[in-house]
Amino acid sequence: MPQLIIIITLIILGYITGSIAEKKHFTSIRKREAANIATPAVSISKALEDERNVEEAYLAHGCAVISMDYFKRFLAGLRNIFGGEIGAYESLVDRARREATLRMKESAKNADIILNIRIETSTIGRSNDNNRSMGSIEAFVYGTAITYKK
Amino acid sequence: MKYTPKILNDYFNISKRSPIADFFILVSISLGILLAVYFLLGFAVDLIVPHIPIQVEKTLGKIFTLQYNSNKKASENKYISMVLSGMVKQLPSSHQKRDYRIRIVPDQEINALALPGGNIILFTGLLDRVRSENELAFVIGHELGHFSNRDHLKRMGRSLVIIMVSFTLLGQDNSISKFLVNTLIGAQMKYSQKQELEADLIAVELLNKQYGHVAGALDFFNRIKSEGNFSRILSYFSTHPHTKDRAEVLKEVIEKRDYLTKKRRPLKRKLY
Repeated sequence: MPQLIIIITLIILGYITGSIAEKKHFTSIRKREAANIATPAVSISKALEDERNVEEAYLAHGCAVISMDYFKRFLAGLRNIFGGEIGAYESLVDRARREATLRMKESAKNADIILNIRIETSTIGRSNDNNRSMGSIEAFVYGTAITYKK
Repeated sequence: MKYTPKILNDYFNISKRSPIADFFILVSISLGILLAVYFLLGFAVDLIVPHIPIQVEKTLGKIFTLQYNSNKKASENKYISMVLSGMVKQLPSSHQKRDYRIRIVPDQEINALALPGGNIILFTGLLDRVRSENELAFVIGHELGHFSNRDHLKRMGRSLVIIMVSFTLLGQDNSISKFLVNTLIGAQMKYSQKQELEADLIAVELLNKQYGHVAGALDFFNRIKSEGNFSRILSYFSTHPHTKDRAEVLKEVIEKRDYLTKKRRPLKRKLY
């Protein structure tokens, strides 16, 4: 019985803290996305029909690691049995990717455009000897930041 | 072509389904499946168990009693073994084939266990409350009744089922299945009220055959009821539910069968 109480408490705690953190994070992401809208980050490798001369080109990158909470892990565990969409993971991956993109943009404040961006996602915090720990996800975003001659 | 950045107001990457609703639906589905399998396989166990040969049971018993054998504190008592062999003689011959043995384990719990192969575990918490030989014989007879009805194998089978199901569904490393297994083994599994009653009826019959009367059969129930220490009673109730109802049914049976009540035999020696 005590073990069941611990598990239920962890699920409730995980849900409450997880939801608060997620809500806050999304608010911050939306605000910062609006603030950084002037710096385009695109996946094409050449800026189309741009005649301007490049002054500076460098690698811009940003990464974010987001951990899941106990509730999400439990829900995903159940979904693993029955199959179907894991909504709880979708928001997690989305947060990591958008946060990483924002960090990349913020690290290249003076860039006019970031070309050829790529997004990599990986799972970290998972030990080799057992598969049960589904720790957290990391999103890594990188691209070529370009500054044009004025 | 001009690049025009755009903020997306509606976001499509995250499904709109509520995670809470998702959680409750999935939990109830998995519990439902677990219960259905438990009942179906449990039913199968009940069908098979009466046909398990006593020889197989003995082998099982060897595995099960290992932990009690290695327990240095567990002891045996000649007087209790004497009472036991007297009761065993009253059993039908087919049930005398088991090697019945009683081990005493020092523990405050008011309980007794019937393990496969004829091993009976008596906790000192229970022995502390026994006042007469007749009462002791009734407690032993009750456990013998569980053996006769093979309740000990049935409960083992059912718990095995739930362990297997949770292991298959959730994996052995999972915290949920670990929790299930721990509680099942820790609680030493429950008998149903019906099984308890049937064991009581066998006990009262054996008691009558051995002593010629049934004094002492109800003593234990009455003492447990009148005792004030609630937490200790609770542990007895948890595996032996509804002491009051059982005592009433037993009383009715004793009156109906015209069993006699004579003088109780006092305990001749210390029990441990």
